[in-house]
Amino acid sequence: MAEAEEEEAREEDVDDGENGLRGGEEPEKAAAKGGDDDEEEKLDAGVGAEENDEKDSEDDSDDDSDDDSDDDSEEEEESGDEEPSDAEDLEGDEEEEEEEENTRKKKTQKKKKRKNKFIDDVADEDDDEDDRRKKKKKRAKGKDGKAVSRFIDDIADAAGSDDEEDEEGDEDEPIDDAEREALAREMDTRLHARVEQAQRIDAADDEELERMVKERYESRRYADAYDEEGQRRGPIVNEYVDQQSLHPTVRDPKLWMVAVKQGKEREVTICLMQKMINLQKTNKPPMKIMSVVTQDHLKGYVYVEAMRDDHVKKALQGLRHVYHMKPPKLVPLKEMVESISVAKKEVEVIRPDSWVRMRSGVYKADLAKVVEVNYGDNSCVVKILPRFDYQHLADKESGEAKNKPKPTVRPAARLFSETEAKNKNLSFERGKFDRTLNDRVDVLCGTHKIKDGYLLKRCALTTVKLTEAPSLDEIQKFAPGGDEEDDDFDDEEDDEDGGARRKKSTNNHINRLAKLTMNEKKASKSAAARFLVGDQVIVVEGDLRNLEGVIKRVDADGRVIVDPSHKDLTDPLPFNPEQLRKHFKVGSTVRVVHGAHEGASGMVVKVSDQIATVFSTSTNEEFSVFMRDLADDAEAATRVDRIGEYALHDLAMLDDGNVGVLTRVEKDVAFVLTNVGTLERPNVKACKLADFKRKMNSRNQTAQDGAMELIDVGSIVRINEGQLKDVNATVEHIYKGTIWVKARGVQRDGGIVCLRSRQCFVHGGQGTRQGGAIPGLTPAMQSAFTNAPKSPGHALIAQSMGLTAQMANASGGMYQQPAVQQRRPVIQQRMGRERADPMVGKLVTIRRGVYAGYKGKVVDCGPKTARVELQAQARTVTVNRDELGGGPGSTTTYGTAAPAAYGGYGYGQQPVDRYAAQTPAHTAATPAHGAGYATTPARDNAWNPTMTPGRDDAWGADEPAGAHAGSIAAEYGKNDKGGKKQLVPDGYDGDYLPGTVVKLMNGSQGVVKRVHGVGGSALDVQPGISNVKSGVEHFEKISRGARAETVAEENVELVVPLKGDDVIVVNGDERGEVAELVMVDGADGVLKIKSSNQEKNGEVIIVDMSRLARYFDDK
Amino acid sequence: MSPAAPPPQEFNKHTRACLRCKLVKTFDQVSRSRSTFSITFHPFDHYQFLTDGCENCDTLNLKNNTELVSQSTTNEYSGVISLIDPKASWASKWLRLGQSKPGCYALEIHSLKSTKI
Repeated sequence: MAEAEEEEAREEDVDDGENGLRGGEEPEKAAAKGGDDDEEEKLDAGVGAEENDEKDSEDDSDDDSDDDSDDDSEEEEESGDEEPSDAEDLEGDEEEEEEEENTRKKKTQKKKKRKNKFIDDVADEDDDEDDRRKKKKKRAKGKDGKAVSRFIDDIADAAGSDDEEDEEGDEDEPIDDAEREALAREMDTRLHARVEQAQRIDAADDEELERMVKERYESRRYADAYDEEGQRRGPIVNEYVDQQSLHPTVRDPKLWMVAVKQGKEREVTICLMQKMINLQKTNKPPMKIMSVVTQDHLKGYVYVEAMRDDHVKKALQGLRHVYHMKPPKLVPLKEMVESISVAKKEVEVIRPDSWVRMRSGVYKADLAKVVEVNYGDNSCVVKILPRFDYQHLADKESGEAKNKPKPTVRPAARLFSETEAKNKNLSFERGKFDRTLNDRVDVLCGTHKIKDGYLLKRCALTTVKLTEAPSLDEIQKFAPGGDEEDDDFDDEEDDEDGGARRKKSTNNHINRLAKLTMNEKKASKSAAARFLVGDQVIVVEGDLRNLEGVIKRVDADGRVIVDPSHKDLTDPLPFNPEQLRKHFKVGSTVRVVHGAHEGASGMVVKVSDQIATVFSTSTNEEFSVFMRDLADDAEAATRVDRIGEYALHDLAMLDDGNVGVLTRVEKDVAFVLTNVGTLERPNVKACKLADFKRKMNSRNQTAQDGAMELIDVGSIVRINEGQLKDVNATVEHIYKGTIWVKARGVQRDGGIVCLRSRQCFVHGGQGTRQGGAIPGLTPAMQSAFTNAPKSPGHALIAQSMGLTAQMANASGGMYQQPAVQQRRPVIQQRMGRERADPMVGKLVTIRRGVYAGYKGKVVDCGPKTARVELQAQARTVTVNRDELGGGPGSTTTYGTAAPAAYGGYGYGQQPVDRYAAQTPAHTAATPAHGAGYATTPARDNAWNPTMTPGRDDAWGADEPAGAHAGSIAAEYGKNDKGGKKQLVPDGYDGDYLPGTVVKLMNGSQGVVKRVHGVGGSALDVQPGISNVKSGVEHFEKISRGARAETVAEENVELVVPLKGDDVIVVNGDERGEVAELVMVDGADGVLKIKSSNQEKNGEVIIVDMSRLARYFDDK
Repeated sequence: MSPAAPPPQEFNKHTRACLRCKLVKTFDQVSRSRSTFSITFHPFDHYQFLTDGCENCDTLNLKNNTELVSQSTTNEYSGVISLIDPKASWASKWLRLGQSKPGCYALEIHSLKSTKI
């Protein structure tokens, strides 16, 4: 029978590769073939007629259909071979039984048997041959015949009728002689084999027959075991039997579900086995069940395989734990496979050096390293950071522990501390040899084995589980010298050499550890999970080793398509995930996808083997992580920037009623900068989702700054206190009197600063405009100044001099603070209000300052400031009027709007004279303007809340007028000396010589036009336009339309000149010299003097850079 | 019918499956985990693999070879099938146990070790 099988194999080969065989066959059998075929056909017909008349017609029709599509039928047969339908299977069974009968009965009917044989391989799944063999014999024969004839028809057709084939449009070429030969030879071989087989079967007894049948079933793949001579194969158990062919059929025994007591499923199963053995021993009739199956996951049921349910019932008789009252339930055919299959678990092999996590107990979820594994008793020894509760241990030793409740707090994981153990008088043995570990360990309390500060813990393999690749910070705890790991990166500062070296060795060790974990997890994690599109990778295996690239995509089959970053390799290349490793270059933007820093994104600033140092953009901190825990920022899927509904930078109320801004979000905790903290001592709370009460909206909230100006969200403010004094920041959130601002250059809390609203000034408001000195004034001063101008005339004179403050200062003699001079704008504002300013309603462009470039409509106008409704943002901001440029269709600026005022004073409209480009004070001083503006005290109050109506009422009232008048006169006279303005007060020795370029508080630059005030404490600065040159702001030209501002000396700083600039020496012997900065040599500047003095002109001097200021000559 | 392999004498604990043929039997090891210093045997003589070996895998010579038994058997298996009539059973065929002797077998073995044998 095995031979017959061989034949089949061969036959199949022929079928499969007819074309292939066609070519080179010997011509010997060619002649015999035609006859053979004919004969067979006849015989077939004969058999069909003889054996089964009633099937004849059916057969014929079958034949006909086969003729029509011979190739199809061939295919059918083949496919039937692999996956028999039920019907075919039935047929197969019958045929097989039939066949055996036949072989015994009619050895001589070779042909027929051969045909039988041929059909056999359609489907003979069942080796159940005892009962049904005889039953179906007759019927089977007919089918037999049919199938055979079908087959032969195929061949005949293929061989004989070329035209027919053409008709059908078959792609097969017409069969030529060679092929015919091949077929003939094939037939012949088969014929012979058949005879031999028949003889053998005849000779065989039942058992051998059984064996042979089995052999056949178990070796379905022919190709590999086929040999040319048609010799019998050895009993090879073929592993590749197609599982598909084993699917249950209606003829197979059925599965019955039997209800049993929960937890006793296995017992029932095993007891049934025992029962079978017992029955066998006592020679009682065996049970008629075939098998009993219990599934671990199926509670309360076992499956019993039997043909009928009464067989099941009978077998279960007398068994404990079986619910006999419940009838066995039939498992549907389709579900049979499912019920006896077990999902293959992902195999976890815990080896020494594996990283595991504890499943339970006080160490639950802790990382541990496997030291030793004993598969025999399923235990392992792990090295773990101990969580000793020394007090509890001491209590235990002294026997007090029983009386005390067990501590509920989980002790912290840290290295074993001998001192602490000694403090608690715990028994401690050092260097004791442990047999089970085969090593010397320290023993604490007789049970805990400690080595190098770590606990060596023996536990069952089931209590640990292999972990995902642990993150770097966890592994660091296991690196040598683990106690220093936490401040690993501070080491370098502490003791540079030692620290660096230790760090290096630690890093090496960690890298080694990392490799270990890599290897372990390589297979278990799918490529898709490990690699994301956009990740930078390096090839670590194969010919293309060390090739770098970027992941283009990850295919479903796990292959990773990489875009190589190589000048000669341009096509995307496929790789297996094992061949790749993530490799981010310094400078890449990455996101951490795993570990403690999960969610953080930042830039790779350092790479050492597998460890990358990342500078986080959200926290401004540096940390190191494994490369494999990183992903390209743009593509990383697990972006943690919210916790529940609370996202990063949201304002939220916490459970305790405090309000804060989320400054950092991690996996399940958010760090909230609350309103409890102050500017100096921020209060950051780590909050879980449960700690949040609700989300807050601060969009419509407002607060008042130090100058009582309105702050709203989005305003730009300048912080006026603490370390962050003078830092500009944008208001992110407002809650009551607290504001959260985002300040550039601030490191902690992601740049968010929490402060009281009074601690800052809003840009463009009162406070910032003149250096924020107003709050510095005492009420007394304020009142003094408010009261200062007694009449419009007074004011006029005072303003025109631009000296109000100084005047007051000098005359009063009591206000020595330089802040005093800042007084003037207030007065101006008081005077310079006009309801119907021509600017209102105009479309303007803001030219300078923080809102430079914005366009908007002027909604309100003060003498110096304008409220502009921005087009780009739904906000109204206050800006200096001189920062306004004409919008499209409007060239009106404040400066050009008031030529009359200048005219009146005899100054040209153009600031020909430096003095003409004077402070806005002058404009305000024109009688016309003054009158016009001064009409709205009420509005003024609203506008400038620092002033009370009471003070306004005091306008023009009693006042030390004499003092004022005198000083004015004095100053005026002084300044008017020689008909020209004095640009520098006498004896001025400050740095801000006229012509120096200075930087103002708002960042813009201007040219000092005039120095005045006491000791030159006030400067008139003409703002201008600057461009960026060599990376720094570089003053280009004066904005013609803009008026000079008066600012306090301390609110400006000199601009460091660049090479090629004109400079002025502001200090030392050469003070006042104007020169060209030829070269900068470190701290020294090489100057070439520009002077009208012929001797000096062109002289080269070297001056310390700190003594130089940039000089801008207006002409 | 060929003689059956004796079923395991315990039902859940201390049973191991032959990595080669999945036959389930009891094999109780020296239980070291409980007491470190005194070697104790389980009170019952439950080490069928040691006394009888594996009925299907005579070539393995498991008898009286503790080391080999612990190597070539595993407790990481799930599901048990009692093959009463392996020849007739469809389940045995599906599980490729058709050649095995009647006895209790594991449905699936979850050990990587099986690949070695």
